[in-house]
Amino acid sequence: MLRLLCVCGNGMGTSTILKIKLKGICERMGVKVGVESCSAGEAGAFISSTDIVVTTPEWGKMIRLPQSVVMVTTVNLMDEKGLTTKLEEAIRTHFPKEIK
Amino acid sequence: MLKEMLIKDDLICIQEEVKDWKEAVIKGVALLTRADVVEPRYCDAILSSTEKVGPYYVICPGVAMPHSRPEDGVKRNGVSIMTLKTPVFFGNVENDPVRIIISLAATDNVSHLDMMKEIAELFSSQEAIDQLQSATTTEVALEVFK
Repeated sequence: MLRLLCVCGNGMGTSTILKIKLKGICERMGVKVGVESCSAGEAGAFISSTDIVVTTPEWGKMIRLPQSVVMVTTVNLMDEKGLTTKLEEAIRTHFPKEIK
Repeated sequence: MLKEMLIKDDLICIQEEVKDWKEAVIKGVALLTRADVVEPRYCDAILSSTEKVGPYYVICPGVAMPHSRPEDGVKRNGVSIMTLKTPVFFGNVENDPVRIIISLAATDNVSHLDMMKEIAELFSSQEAIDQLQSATTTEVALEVFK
């Protein structure tokens, strides 16, 4: 199972929408995931149990990640096609065993 | 759920005229204040964080979802919808200009999940966005919501 963490400024809006979208996307991709969401300030506490961080470019710049964690960013939260492509690419590159 | 709330608490406003993003946020959040969803200071919190960190809530082309944290004066979960006659620029290059303002208030990051699901589903449809922003009456706009 892959552990996804959605991050935004205060952990309420953007990260929640991302969480909802990603659950649907991963289900359709056939990838097993656990999805959490939090604010940029809280991200540090979650990072050790995260495989992929999903956020917008502006918050992406502010989060420091260990090398083992992959980041995927999107400007348009509703762009399901774009988000699917980016996420699939990240999974195939870094976690190939998780996807058929 | 969203539709009932918009009607019951009078939280939808169509083809509003505003001069800039700031006025758009002020008027959108004012609907929440009037319905006693948030305290007046909630709007100030959004404006000051926007000035500090930028327009962090422009979620997709044409749509902004201004909001702040629960402790900034949220009394209960709620959403207001406002469409703009003339689009405004928030400074988000990819998603500007904005014609729909979803003002969001949530008491925590869990209990608003159903509300957020409806928003995520609705605004994933370009057709729904187009219909909402071109609606000239509240009735037509409300048809977009299930």
